[in-house]
Amino acid sequence: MLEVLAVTRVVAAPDSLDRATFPSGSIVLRTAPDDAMVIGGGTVQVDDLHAIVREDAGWSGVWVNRAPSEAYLQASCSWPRPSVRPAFAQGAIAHLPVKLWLTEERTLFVFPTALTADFVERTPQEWSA
Amino acid sequence: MSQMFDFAGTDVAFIDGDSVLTALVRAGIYPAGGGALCCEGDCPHCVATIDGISYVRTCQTAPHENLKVQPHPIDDYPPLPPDRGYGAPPIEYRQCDVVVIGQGESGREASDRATTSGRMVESFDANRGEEVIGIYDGPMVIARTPERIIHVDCEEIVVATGAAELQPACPGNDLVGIVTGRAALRLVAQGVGLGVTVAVGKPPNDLDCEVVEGTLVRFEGVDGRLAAVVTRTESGEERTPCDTAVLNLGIYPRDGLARMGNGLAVSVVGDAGRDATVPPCPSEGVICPCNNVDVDDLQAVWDRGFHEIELVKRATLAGTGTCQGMACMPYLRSFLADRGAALQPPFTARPVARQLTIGEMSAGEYDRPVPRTPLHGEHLALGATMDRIGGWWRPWTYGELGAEYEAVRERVSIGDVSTLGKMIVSGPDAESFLEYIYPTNISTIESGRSRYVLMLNERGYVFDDGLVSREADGTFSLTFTSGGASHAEMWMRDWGSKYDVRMLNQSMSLAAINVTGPLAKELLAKAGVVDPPPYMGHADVQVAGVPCKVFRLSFTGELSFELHHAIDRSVELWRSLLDLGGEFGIYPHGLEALQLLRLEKGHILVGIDTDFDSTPRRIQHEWACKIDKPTDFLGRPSVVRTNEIPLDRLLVGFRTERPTVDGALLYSNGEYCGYVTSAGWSPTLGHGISMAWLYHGSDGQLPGDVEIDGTTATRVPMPFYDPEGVKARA
Repeated sequence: MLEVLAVTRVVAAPDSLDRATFPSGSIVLRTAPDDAMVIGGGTVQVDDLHAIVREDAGWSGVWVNRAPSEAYLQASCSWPRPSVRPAFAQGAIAHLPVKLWLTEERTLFVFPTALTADFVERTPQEWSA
Repeated sequence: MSQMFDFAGTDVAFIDGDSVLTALVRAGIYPAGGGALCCEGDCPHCVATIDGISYVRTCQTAPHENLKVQPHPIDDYPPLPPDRGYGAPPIEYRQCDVVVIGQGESGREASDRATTSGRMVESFDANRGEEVIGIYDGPMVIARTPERIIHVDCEEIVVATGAAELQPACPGNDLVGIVTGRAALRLVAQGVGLGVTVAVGKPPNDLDCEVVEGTLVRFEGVDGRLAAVVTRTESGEERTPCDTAVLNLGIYPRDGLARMGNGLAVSVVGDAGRDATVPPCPSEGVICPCNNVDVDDLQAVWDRGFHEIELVKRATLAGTGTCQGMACMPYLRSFLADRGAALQPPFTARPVARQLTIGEMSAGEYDRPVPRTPLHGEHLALGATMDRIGGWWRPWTYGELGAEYEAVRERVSIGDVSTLGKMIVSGPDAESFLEYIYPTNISTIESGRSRYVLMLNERGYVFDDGLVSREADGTFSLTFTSGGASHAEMWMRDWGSKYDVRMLNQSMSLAAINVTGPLAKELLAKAGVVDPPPYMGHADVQVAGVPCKVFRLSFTGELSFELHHAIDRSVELWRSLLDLGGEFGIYPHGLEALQLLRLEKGHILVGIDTDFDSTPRRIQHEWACKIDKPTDFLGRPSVVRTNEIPLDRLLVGFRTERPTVDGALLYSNGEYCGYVTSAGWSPTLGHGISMAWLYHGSDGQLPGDVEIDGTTATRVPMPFYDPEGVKARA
């Protein structure tokens, strides 16, 4: 089901981010060497005095089973996805900025909440039911 | 029982193995009215409208019951489909190592070789209904199948498309009854009777027919049907009566796709890579059946000086039609060689190689996404007219422009400014980085204070503006314009790569509501803010129970507070403010009102009031460009240099007694001297106000009064409203 995600953004020096500890059970998407998106809430510990750590209510997501997600991506995503799971990938999907967390069984689509209407319009109806 | 399809209201029977064309020819129907049929998709002589789609090659279309075929008009374009039932087909994206186009002998061998070496191969073949329509940079191949459009990203492309048989170029080549050798075999194999058949050139094996002697001169016909082939022999012209002429004039490589791949990893195998047969130069007749270009047309453009094949193509349109030069290219080359321009290479090939429907072209395309603020539903519920402004859906008006304006000027109002660009910058180099980015002093911004900033590019031109605020923890909060936020983020990250800084873009994560009007403080007090920040200050406070960072600044010219907050609390905050503001006569304002309010205050809108070459001096914002600040900043050398040049234009204010419009032209003594960037009628001032670019006259002076739309406009200083800034600082 489509939902607003509990996200913490962590921007820190890359080596500090490498050493950071994240809440158990959270999903950590390393969107850039100095930027991590932590999904699931909890406290992040990072040893960079200048790190920016902010709760971020601006992201939504939907979990989709592997087969339908791959079928959708083949028709909506022009770039190759990682062949090995679990994996993180990001890029334009149906011309929307989307981050993917790909597990063996499912795929999490993450996108800015401000683009929810466009996401709903461009994905199968049952994803947002 | 025979199966049938419909051709212009007539039932046409078809059998297994038929194409639409073979079934039509068996019935004595020639969909395009004549011309040498190739039955391999190389010529334009079998195209028709099938099930509403025009320019379909009937020779490559399998028939089925209920199929509807219509011939194209003889001298006109086929009509557009009568309804919008032809949407975009599905699209599929694939990735592989090698794409092999064509699965004849050489194509199959190429596929096998690549597969054996462990490479992932995708193959396409027109005989399987898979038409490759273009090769693009990447390299990438786009193909069309009856079901979908397929994009394939690959490392290498092998073109194995074979060769086509030459079309004839002589008088009478548009008659019914002319076929290439391979076409003849296909028709005979499907049981199509050819009647009395003669061959021009060596006939295909197994085709029993008379071979005419000599060189082809023309075809003669009766009522559009072939009646005889005329050739020239040593003894003169010979006329051979027949029903069908089978041609073997040579073959020509189908290399259009290969030529599209110039410079890419594209190789050509088999007949597609063979040297092209260049036939004798034709003396008369049509050489381009798609666009009806004949030898006389070629001669005419030659005589006008068009001697390059690319120019002849453009001047005559030969090669730009349905077959994309497969019919005419050999004759264009032979004509130019004969006239003394040497044998020229084929003209450039470009996608698409096959006609596409608009629906097919739009496969996989989407409108640009337009983000919505968390208050989108609130605006709609209040009856707002929404519009796409600055890359977002925003409320233009709630239907009562006057009420929106009055609420701001006389009481209190709220506006959705969530679309502003927002960023946090921290790090050991944060201050020095921002000093370099912005032309104003950053080091003197105290904790809890904000400063208006311009953004300049390397040329010293203004491309954005916003606010810089220093936080208690040493980080900085930045804002940018709504429409410029994406570019500004790119700009910051690009230049920031040289500094030890951290940056977080919060443009879509934070919402913002502007509380503005003389009673703004009273409203915030009711919402629990007893000690709001001072002018150009900011503080973290709870507003109606919602954690906010409250910035005090003013775009409207009135006392204003921007409440930045998490987007998931925005609806709650908006409703609370409307509820609490009821006793103050609160009314929300949209963009239309805001643009008038800020115009009265003389605030620029970057991108509307500024141009691509607007310097701080030209827009009268030198106060925001500290040229003498101790550290260097982006654009400074350019600003220093351009400041030495006499000023040629200025963004100024005008007062008019009649309303003017954005874009209106300025005249001084009948001479053009500028244009209006923003205009409005000020209800408070009771006259028209305009911001305009005003050019210096030839005497180096700025005109004083000018004419705008036939009315006198008096140049006045800005701001038009509250020039002392008393209200904003109240």
